[in-house]
Amino acid sequence: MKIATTLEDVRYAASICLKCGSCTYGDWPENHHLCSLFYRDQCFTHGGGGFMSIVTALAEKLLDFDQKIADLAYTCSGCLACDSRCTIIRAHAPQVDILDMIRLLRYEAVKKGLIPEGIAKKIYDDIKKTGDIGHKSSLQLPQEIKSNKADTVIFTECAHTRAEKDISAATASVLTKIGSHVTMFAEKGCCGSTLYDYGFWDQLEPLVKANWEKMKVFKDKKFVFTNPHCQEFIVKRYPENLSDYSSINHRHISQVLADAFKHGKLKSKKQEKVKVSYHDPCYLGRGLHIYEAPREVLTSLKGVELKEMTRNRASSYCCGARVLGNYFPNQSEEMAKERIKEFEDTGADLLITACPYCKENFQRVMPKSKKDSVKDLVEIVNERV
Amino acid sequence: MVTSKKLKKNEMSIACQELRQAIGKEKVKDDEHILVSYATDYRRSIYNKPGLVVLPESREDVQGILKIANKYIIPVTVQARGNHSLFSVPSEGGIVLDCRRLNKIIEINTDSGYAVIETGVTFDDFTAALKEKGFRCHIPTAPGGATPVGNYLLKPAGSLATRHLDCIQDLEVVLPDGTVFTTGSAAFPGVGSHLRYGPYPDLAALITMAYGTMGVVTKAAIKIYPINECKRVALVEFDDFPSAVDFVKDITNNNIPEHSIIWFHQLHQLFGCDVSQPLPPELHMDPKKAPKGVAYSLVCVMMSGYTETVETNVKVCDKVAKRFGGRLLSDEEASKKMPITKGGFEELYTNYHQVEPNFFGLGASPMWITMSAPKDVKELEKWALDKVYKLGVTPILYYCQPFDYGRSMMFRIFFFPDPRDKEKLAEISKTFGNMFDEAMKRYKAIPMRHSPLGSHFQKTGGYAEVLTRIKKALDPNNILNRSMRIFEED
Repeated sequence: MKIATTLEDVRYAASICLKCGSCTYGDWPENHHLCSLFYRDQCFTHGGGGFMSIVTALAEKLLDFDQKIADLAYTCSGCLACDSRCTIIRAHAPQVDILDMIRLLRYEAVKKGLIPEGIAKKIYDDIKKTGDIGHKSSLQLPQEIKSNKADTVIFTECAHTRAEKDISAATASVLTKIGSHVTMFAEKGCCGSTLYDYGFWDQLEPLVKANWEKMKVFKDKKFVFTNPHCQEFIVKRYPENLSDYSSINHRHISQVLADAFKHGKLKSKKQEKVKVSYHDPCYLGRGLHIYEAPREVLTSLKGVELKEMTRNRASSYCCGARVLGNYFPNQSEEMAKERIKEFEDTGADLLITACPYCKENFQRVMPKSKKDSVKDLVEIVNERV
Repeated sequence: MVTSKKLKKNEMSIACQELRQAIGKEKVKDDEHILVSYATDYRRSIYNKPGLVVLPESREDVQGILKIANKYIIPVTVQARGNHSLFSVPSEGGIVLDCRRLNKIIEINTDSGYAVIETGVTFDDFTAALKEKGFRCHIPTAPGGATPVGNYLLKPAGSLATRHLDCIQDLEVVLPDGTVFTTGSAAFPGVGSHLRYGPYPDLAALITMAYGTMGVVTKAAIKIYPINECKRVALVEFDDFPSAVDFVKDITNNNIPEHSIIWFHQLHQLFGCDVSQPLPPELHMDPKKAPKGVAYSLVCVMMSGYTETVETNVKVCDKVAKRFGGRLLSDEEASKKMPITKGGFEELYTNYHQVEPNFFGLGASPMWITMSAPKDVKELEKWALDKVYKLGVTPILYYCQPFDYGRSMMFRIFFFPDPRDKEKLAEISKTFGNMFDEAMKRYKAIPMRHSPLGSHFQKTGGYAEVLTRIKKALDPNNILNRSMRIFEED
């Protein structure tokens, strides 16, 4: 969605909602419960359709924007389940998604000074000070694969937390084992996806413009992403908001690894048997429709047995990492716990994901003694090739 | 008629406290953003903000809610889940009783062929559970998130209406004073739901088509049917509507289809379109003539049973189609000519799962729906098409299907005006009202459902008088679904 979009712009599309409620659960016949807000406290308001009613009522001046609306908007985990199910809202101009309208509510909250207390406010204060989140990555590519002439660019912005750094380091290590020459892109702390998600839109435009200026130097090369949030945002939202954007060739690291196994560039070492369960990150799965590559990678590893969780692929349940609101207490933790319980039910030893936010949130909630059972896909590959 | 009392503000506040004590704080909502989200029907044609939204989780919760509402004479509007809230628009300042948390599938009885479910169970959950057991149910044109109980109480036009018009076996109902009763054989404790019509008058019929004005249904036994060995959808093309009606009537009388439906050419043309893009110009042309190469009427015949029977029935369809000037499409031809339409029919009629047609993407549509005898519907079609075409909104869509072995034919015409054009909507509403009056005189057609804007109920004379007496006995304070305006004074 264009960040210049207003409530008035989306009012008509939001009003088209049929109140069918299918935005809250997965595909038939499994009908898995997906919308964490709705299933926490079932009422029409706590789902995509409810948000559409709120957007319409706000645009029609039938409702005043208050702290509860702000909290509700920030407590949505942004899991994309509603958008993967609803075909109605997007069929109408300006062709935006339900989640985009929820982001628009967050932007309204920011403008009205109603950002929920806690992490959301802290992130916003940091962004206001620096115009960015964190700093550019300090990751150094090994000399044997580093080449400014390489066709592949590893996108490693967003490498400022422990999980992100570990994933980036593992990626560099695996690429060294593959032996492909790469260059790296890590010019800013954030590509803009976090600012976009949280409605910090006044700071978004300069950041995105500056980032694209640096990215477009590499636009004829192939970008490889380790964070699906960055990838989804750049390939879907940059075109909507940058007049000089030209499409980039992009792949997720799981696809690169799957190809490497297929073409014999990566070989699994024989190691002890382990059962793993793969958690589909929302933005890699529902956002980019990449479901099979991570599974192909895992099944290429010797001794690894893949155990699927009940809710998988397009019906995956969100880890709760991006919940910042206080509409329901401990919503982020509750979501992670629910998913971890589902993982434990599989009898698997390791919970594998392919997104740093998922890894962080699961590790945050896991008992201390089990934190090492959460790994990113690249990390398990790095250990076993 | 029945009297209504104006609600005092402090009474609502006291009632809210009592409700919270009775059923639990978390089931009673009065946040402004929640109330607003319940204020409209899905067409947003009415905006009545309720004073409270209550979300019961048991029959006992419903009893508690109704007793308190009745004590303070607070209007209560029941919504199964609110999908088709056209018939359950809140009363301003009243209570919305949202049944979505009453969502248990209690029993699937494959021996007798019924399932007992709570009011808030969705079609998606119900059909999935039935499929696992090798069973199916009647599926209407409604989203998968709609509810069988809410829908069946409105006698829907759906996948089994040709043969099985009654989808409900029995009901559990709570009255405003908290009285609970069960209908059918299940009225006898421990007997189960194997018989709709017991030795006494059928009270399920009183609650059906009552739009929540007579009592609150908390659970229902629903008729279910085994999935047969062979399932088949046959498509037959006709150049005119009356021949399609004759064909449908003939095959229905000869027990060929489990269900059949006639689609107007603009409907089956639209079905293949991407509705987020501008529609093809043919869909904005005079609908009374089908474009070259497009059948004016497309009949879908749904059949199931043993393979041998179905294969024979397909041959019979071919024979009867020819007799009435129609043409049965071979499977290959249908797949090539109209893959999306055929796929949609198959999902609905052979996979027994809700299809969300692409025209849902065009938003809510005003609909004019009548029931008339087969010979009358043949005349009514051209007349209705003319009337609607004059409104200047295209494309015009309709479908027609036999109910109850073709004793009566449903005719449903609809289109998609810009919902922001209030003048046009008012014109449509007025035209529809006049059309009902005229269709009754000309074609003996009656409205399929009550309209809060119409006055059809009063035309029924003694029937209206008796029903009003019953209403007064069951709901003396007239708290239940006042917005339907069936029993209102003004």
